[in-house]
Amino acid sequence: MIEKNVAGSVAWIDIPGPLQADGERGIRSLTDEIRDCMVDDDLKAVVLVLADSVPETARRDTMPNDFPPVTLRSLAGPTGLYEVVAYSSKPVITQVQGTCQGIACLLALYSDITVAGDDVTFHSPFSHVADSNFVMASLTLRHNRAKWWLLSGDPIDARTAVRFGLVQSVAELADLRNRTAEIAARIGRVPSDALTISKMNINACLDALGVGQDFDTSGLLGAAREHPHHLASKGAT
Amino acid sequence: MRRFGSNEAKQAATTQVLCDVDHSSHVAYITLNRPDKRNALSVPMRYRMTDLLHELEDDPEVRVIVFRGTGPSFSSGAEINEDWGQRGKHKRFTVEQAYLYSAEMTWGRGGFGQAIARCPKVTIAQLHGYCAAASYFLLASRCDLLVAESGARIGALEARFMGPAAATASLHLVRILGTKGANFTGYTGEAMTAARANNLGLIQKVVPEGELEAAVDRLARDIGARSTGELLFLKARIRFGESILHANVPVVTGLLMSHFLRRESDEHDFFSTVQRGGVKEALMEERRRHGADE
Repeated sequence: MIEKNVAGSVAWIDIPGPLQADGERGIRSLTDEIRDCMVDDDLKAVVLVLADSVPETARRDTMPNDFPPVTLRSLAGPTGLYEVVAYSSKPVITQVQGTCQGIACLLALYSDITVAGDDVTFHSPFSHVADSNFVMASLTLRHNRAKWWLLSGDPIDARTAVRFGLVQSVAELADLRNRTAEIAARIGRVPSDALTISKMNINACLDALGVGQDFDTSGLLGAAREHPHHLASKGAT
Repeated sequence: MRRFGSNEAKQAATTQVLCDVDHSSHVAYITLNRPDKRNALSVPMRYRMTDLLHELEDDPEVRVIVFRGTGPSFSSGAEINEDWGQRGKHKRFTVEQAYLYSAEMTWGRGGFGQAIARCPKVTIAQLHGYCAAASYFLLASRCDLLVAESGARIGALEARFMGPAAATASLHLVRILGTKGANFTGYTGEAMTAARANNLGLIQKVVPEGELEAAVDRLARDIGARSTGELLFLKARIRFGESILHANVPVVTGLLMSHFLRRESDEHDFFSTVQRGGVKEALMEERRRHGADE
């Protein structure tokens, strides 16, 4: 389902549909692909291109729950998708558009830089993805804005997302990929060692601020909660 | 357990902090009702707020709690010209008295601010007029959602007379406003406009004059219509994150030192004037002396 291409020193990973559509195998495949990019000496940045995360007709309270199950470990564990992105050793850029919710929304939150189409709306993942990282949301959006997003159910549009700091650049859909490529190219001009050392420092700051603790413990809250859309298999850690 | 405050203040608190519950919408309203004093919070009023919060926490039909005020302003903050039962009137308070006041009745773990911060129900602050001093950094900013009328003014106005204290030393304000935002608004004692507070990230929604009550009512009912389980989970999620961010710790405040232990001549004059002529006279005197515009 995912497709990887390399342009210069940037890897582009296209994910054409909902991330959980291929279940556990799909999540692990994506995670492995990102990790391989981190150990590729010729690459300096990774772009995750996320299409609309759910069909247009789906609403928050009717998110499909007939996808194959995905373990907590593969998503929220120390080697799971979220932490591989949040603690990557090279910059990860997410490109999003349309309805961005669930795992796609979380990847936008956890990545280093997000570029969005002007039609994007970010829907709070906290009700549906119990292991969402609130500390990261608070640090990125600022505390009260994160609480509003979480409690009110109001989606964040492109213009607000830039103001809040969730998105760093917005482009018309026809120009979106070019805008992302421009940003990726700028990163590509920075020496590799400098990028990796910078990421090491940033990751240490995230841990000091509590992002890692929230990852470690959010899964406990998720496991304790019975919810039809919670993506966790029984007995997973 | 001993509760401080004069008998008159204790009796008055039951009508100065009102509580109404609409079980059909799952919304409770805590209303500050002391408009002649701009809803200044006496010690018994603060105890009452904590007691009400505990009752509402135990009511399974309540999902949302709205804080609001009657009269021209939400609240001017803590009552500062009050005999709450300390031993006589001294020029210099003991550390013991200061700790009791702060830890039990105001900023500390036993205070109403902590009761709000740790409440498992969704809390909303409905702000109009002035939201100043303790009502800003202990009440409104501890709520989950803040909705303000466009003409509202919010800030640690007391910082102009008593130093920035809690407005800069509060971890939760640093998380909300950012470090520079908290420093600037605290050290200057800025009365943030609703728009500025929205830009800084404190207030999440600003509504036109005259539309505040309806807007908050609508918001509270919308949230109250969601399931108890979901809301309890989301609040637990927030509180969990806040504990990691240290955003729920009690305020550490230099007010403890300046207010109670040793006063500079300016502060001494201010409090002397308060005791002699009341808060209004003291504020007028400050305006005459320093040319303050608010």
